[in-house]
Amino acid sequence: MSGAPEVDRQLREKQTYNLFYSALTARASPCLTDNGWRVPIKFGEIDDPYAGVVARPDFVLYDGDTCLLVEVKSGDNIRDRDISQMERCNQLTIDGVEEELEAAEVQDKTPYNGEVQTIDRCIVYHDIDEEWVEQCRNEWDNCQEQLEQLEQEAAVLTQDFGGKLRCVAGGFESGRLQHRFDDGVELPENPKEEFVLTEQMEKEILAVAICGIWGEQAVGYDDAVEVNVNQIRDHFAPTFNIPPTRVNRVLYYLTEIDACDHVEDLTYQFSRDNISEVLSIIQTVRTQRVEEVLDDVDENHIPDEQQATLDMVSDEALANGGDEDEGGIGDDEIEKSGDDEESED
Amino acid sequence: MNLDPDRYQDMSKREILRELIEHIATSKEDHEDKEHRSGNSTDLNLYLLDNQGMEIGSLDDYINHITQNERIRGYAKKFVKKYTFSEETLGDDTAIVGVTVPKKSRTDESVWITHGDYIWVLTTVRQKWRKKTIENLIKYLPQVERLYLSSDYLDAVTDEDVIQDSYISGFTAKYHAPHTERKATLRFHGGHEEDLEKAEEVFNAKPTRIEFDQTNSPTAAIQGSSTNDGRLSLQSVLQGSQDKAVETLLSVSEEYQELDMASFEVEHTPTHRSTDVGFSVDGFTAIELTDPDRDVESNEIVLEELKENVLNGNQYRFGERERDTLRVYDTHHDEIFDLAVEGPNIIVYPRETATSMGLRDVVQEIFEYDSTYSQEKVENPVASP
Repeated sequence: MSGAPEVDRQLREKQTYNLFYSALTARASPCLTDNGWRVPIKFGEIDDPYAGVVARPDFVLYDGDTCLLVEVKSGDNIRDRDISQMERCNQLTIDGVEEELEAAEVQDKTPYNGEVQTIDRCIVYHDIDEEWVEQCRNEWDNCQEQLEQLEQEAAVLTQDFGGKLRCVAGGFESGRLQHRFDDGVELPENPKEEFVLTEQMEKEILAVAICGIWGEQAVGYDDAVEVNVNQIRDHFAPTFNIPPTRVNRVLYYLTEIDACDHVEDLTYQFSRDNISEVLSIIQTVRTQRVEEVLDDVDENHIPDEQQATLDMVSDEALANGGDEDEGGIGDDEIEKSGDDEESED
Repeated sequence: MNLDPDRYQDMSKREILRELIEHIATSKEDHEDKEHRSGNSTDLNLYLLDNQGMEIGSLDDYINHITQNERIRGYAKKFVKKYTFSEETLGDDTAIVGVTVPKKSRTDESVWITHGDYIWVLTTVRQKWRKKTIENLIKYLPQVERLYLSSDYLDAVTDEDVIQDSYISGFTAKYHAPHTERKATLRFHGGHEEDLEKAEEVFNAKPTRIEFDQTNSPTAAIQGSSTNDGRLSLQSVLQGSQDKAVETLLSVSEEYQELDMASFEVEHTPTHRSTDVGFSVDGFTAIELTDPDRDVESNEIVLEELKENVLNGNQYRFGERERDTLRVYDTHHDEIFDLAVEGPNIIVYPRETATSMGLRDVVQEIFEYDSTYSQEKVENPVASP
C-alpha cells in the first residue's frame, strides 16, 4: 500500500542504530569491546551544568579513560542540525560527562571507575565513502563548507551492512581511536535488532516497539499481560516523551489488527493468543499503516483520549512540560524530548 | 532391569554408577565375544539432561500437568495416557523412575540423579523398549531437554585427555543436505581416527556417534560410545575395570556438559535496562551456523527453506522482520529468538526470553535439515564487566 516507503524509511533508520551497535558485539571484527570499550548509555541526555549545554548523543562509549560520544545518521547529507549537535557534544566538560556516567551507574555496570581523561566524538553516516567525501570537497556546492564545519567538531565515519565502519573525514583527539577507525571495523551483514524506537517515534515504529516489549513478554505468562498508556510512556521516559494520545491510538490500532485486546479505558492486554500477530508486526505496519486502519474505525470507539491526558499524565511528563497540548486526535505534532532519541525494544 | 530401592538408598553418585556398571561387567571370554555394539540389552545408557526446573520427587505433578494443561500437545497427552509412572525417591536428589506398559505388565526403570544444573538418567533397559518409554518421558517433560553437541564438538568428548588410554574404535557419520541427491550414513566398526577424518574430508559426513575402546593395560577393557544427542553408553566393562569405567563416565559427562554449555548457554544475556539517563543492554550472544556444503544462495531461498523445513512443525510460530530475518516463538519452551540469514549462513540471535533450551532445539532442527553447517557461539559483554 501507499505507506510502505515511509514505513521503510522508519525501519531503515532503526537498522542504522543496530548496525552501529553491532560494532560492539562479537560479530564485528575486531569487536570494540575487545579493545576495552563498553556502552553504558544509549540514547541518553547529557545535561552539563558546567558548560550550560545539553547534548543527546545516540551512544556513549567508555573505556575507563576516554568517553566517546556517537551520533548515528541514516542518510548521507550533512544538515545544519548535525553540525550543531556535534558542536554541543564538543562543548561538554569532563566534570559534566563524569556526572552522567555516574548517573548511568557506570561503576556497577562496567569494569571502570567512571573517571574520564578525554572526551572524543564522531558522527556516523550511512551512504558515504571516500569518493563521496572527495566529491563533497571538490564538486558540490555548499558541501565543502558544511563538511569542514563538521570536521571541526567531530570525526566523520561511514558504515554499511557487511562493510566497514571507518573514518572518512575529520579526526579523533585520541590516537588510539584514530588508528582503530582508520583500519576500520568489519560489521555483520545482518546485525541483531536490539533497538526499535527511533527519533521521531512514528506510530508504526512505536507499534513495533510495543509489540517487541509487551507483546513478547506475554509468552512467559499463562495469563494475559496488562499494560496501560501511562506505563508505556513511563517505560520510555525520560529519553522519549511520547504523547499519550499517540500511545493510545497505536494500542487501539494493535487491537484492530489482533495483536492485543482492549480491557477498559486506557488499559490493554497481550497474551500468547496474539503471538502470531505480534511476531508479524513489521509486515503488518508496512501494509496497513496506523492511521489508515484507524480511518475505518468510528472515533467514538477509541477510548477517550482527552481523558487520557487528564488521568494518565505521569509526573515526569508534567515536569518535562511535554503534554499541554495533548488531546488532538490528529496527533501530527512531533513531540520529542530531544533531537535524537531512541529506545530499546 | 530391576532396581532394588533399598540397595540404592543413600548411595553417592559414584556408588550408584559403580553399582550399575556391575550390570554390564563381563568376564574376559564374554568381553571378546561382544562384537556388535548396539541395541544390546545389557548396555548401560546415561542420558544427560539440561534441567530447567525439574525437582526429584515431583514427577506426579509433572505428569498431572501434562494431562491437564490445554497447551500441551497431543503426543505428550497420548503418551501419559498410555503408560503409568512411578517415582521412588532415594534421597534429595536421586530417584528410581518406572514407566509401566500396562498391556505388557512391564516396567522400564531408570535412575534419575540431579547433578548441578543437569539431570542424569541411567538405565540398562534395551534400546527397543527405552526408546518408547524412558526416552519419550524425557522428551515430553517440558522441564528437561537432552543435551546436544554439533559434530564439530563430538570428537572432543572422546579425546585422549578426557578418556585416558582410549582410542576411537568406530563411528557413525552422516551427510545430508538440501538440493542434492547425495545422502550418506557411514557406519564404521573398528574404524579409527583417520577413518573419521577421511569421512569428514571426502564425504563431508559429520559424526553423530563415536565409539571408543579404553584399555586397562594391556587389554581393551571398556567399550563405550557417545552420541551427539546427549547419550553416553557403556557396552561392556571387563571385570576388574569397573572403577576405571566410573571415572570414564564421570569425565565424559563433565566434558559433554561443558561443551554443550559452550555451544548453547546464553552467558551474556541481552537484558535491557532503563536508567535515569538512558538505556543500556548488558550483553550479546549469537550462534553462527556457517559454511554449509552448497553454493551461495539468495537470502530468500534460505528463508523459504527455514520456513518450510525447520519451522514448519507445531513447535514454532514466526513472523518476518525486515532484512531477511524471522522472529520465532518456540511454543514448547516459551522463548523467542531471531533467525537472521546471511547468504547460506544462518545466525541465531536470542531475545531476552531465550535460553539454551530453545536455542539447542532450533540448532538441532537446522542440523537435521542440513548436516553440513558448522556451528560457533559468539558472545561478549556490552555494558557489564
